[in-house]
Amino acid sequence: MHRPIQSISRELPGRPERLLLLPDQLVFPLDARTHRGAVQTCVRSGETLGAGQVIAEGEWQTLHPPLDGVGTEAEANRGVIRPSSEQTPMAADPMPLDDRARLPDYLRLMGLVGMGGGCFPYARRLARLLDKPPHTLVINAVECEPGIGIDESLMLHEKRFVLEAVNTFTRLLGMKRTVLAVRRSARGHLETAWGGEAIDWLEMSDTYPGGAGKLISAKLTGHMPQPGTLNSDLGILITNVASLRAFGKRLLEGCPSVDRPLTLLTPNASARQLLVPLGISAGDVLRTCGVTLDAERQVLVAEGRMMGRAVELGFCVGKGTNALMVLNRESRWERPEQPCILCGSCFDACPLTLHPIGMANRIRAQRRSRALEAQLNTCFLCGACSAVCPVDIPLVQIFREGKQWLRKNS
Amino acid sequence: MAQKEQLKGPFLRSGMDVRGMMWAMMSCLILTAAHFSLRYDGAYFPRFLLVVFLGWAMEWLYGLLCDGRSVWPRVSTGVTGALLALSVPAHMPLLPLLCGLLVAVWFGKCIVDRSALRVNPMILGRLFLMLVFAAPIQEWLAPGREISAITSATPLGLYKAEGITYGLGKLITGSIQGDWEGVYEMLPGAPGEVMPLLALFFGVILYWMGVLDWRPGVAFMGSFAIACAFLKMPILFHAAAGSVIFTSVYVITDPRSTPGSKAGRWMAGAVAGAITAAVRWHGYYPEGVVFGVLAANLLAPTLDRLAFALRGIFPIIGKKFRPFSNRWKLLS
Ligand code: SF4
Ligand code: SF4
Repeated sequence: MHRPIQSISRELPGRPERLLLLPDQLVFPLDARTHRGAVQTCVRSGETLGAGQVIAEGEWQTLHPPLDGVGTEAEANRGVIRPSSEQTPMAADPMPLDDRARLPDYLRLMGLVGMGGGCFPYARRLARLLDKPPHTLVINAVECEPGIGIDESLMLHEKRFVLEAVNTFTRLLGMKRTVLAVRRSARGHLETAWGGEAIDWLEMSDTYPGGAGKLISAKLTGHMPQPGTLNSDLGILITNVASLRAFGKRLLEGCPSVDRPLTLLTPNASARQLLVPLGISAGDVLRTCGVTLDAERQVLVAEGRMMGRAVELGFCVGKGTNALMVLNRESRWERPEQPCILCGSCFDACPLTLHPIGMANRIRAQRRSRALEAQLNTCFLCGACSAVCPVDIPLVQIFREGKQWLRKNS
Repeated sequence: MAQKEQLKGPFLRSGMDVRGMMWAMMSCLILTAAHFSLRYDGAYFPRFLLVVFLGWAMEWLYGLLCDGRSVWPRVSTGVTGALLALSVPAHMPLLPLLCGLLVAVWFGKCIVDRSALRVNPMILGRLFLMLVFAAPIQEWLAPGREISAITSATPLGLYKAEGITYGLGKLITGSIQGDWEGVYEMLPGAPGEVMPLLALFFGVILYWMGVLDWRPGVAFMGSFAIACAFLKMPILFHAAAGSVIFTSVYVITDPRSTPGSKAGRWMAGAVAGAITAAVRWHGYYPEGVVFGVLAANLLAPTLDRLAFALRGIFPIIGKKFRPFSNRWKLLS
């Protein structure tokens, strides 16, 4: 038996605070893996750059600096800019969009990606949908990673951008219905801001991973999608709140995707919701917020306790960084794994009713089968099974490697 | 910093670690032994502790002899010793009991546990005693007596011999005393099974703490009840007498020897329950849990493999969702 991981936060997320600072440098990864496709820098060393100017472009993605600065030579798959002003952008005119055919290019030029962590370019996603547009738009405001509150904060305090984006998507794609997916316990306070809108509410559970796209579409349709089925095949477009806000900001203020709303969580303090310039280092964010990291006793985690990873102070905030967390180290994180005692907790924890330890054993023994492929392709690496394992078997890491192994050998 | 890179998520863990789970179980077993000692036989508790410590000593000795190193014994070995001490007559001679313990610890825990085979070590020890020391494991003596003046019987033994059922209220509260028509002196059974209510209470606590899974126990009791009904045996009497409830709480739920998958657990519990009822109905021994659990244990790897393979045929099973609304059908 396992205890579900509760996503409930007791506090109402506050208004996002804009972080004003002049960092030494802003770093942008230029590798194809991060951007789901190649991007080429168009900055010469020593070139003066304005905030919001294009610094790299790819087939589906564009990058812009959030601050004025000077470009340096791109090295080791990353572009570095030395900022010269701490003012975040950007005085531009609204950039409304009325032509559906222009939507992918519009999204590419503003550099919109899925900001829930996947970082999949919206341009690529929407280009696929133009022929067969979805009928339902889902605003995924289910903040299921424990401790993160940024999406709910944006829903409460940056509603006008989110709403503008929703209206534009539904108008351009001719969608018939908008669904707002929320955590059960968050519905009350979100209704104060969104109660009057013509949307349907979808309550998801208060436990992790209630906000997973698969679970949302399963709840919408009544069945779990079969492996390989995309939400778009079911006529559903699930969008992240931070992405909608970025799109709305472009529509209303002409501003490209240059900042990242994120939650900063530190021990013994309330969570802070921040608007952080892209490319800034985690160390700069902590310093500006007056947080010190005791490397002996604490660990810095990016993107959430469940799906995130331990990072160093030099880690640069990217479009998928929805949280920075300073956590006190726990001995269980460092303990070596022991043999499985078959307690069954991982089976209970899996939201897709997969067989985690069965998969892990077969991956380690490299025993490929139809059942393994079906399950591994369904698994979305939420880590709920790893979190409940009493003997610390790194199940989710095994599945990540297993997926690569399957891909390599298919 | 380099060390930090090696830290692997998730950075949140839920539930107990394995030592915590085993200590929780051990605490319940110690309280069960204390309960028996207080109500029926003051001399039992030191004997119980002796068996537990000897179990640990045996594991330590095994490490020394076979692996050439002194290893700190595991809490789970203490649980095995405690379960065995609670499952055999309180006055069983020490020598056969220690032989059973040796089999449970050396074979069950130190050898079988490291292999692909899955057998509950206590069940292995008890099976050994039933096969080799059939008389002592069925001899029920009143406290302080070396031999019985009149024939003694547990409620289950009385049913086996005379077809008579003992009062249900007395059974579940463990109030077993006096004699039956001057022929049998009524004695409680093994220390762990005398008060099913207590076992159930600890079962609920262990479930609430996240130590036990409810499925195998419920499947065990459910299939046992159905099989009893089918074989026209008194269901409530059989559920309350003997070690059905003790087994459904502490034995069939043993993680190492039951299947890991949910479907496997349901199936294993059902198999064990049905076989237990069948042995009680027509077996040589009045109690059948050892054979039922053993069969389920031996089937465990197959049941897990079967449950896993089914996922290749039916990729998504198990979870049904209520459609959000019937407007969905209109839209799609
Ligand atoms: S992998 Fe961990 S959680 Fe899963 S059955 Fe084994 S010990 Fe339990
Ligand atoms: S990581 Fe995969 S197997 Fe584990 S709980 Fe999540 S979906 Fe299930």
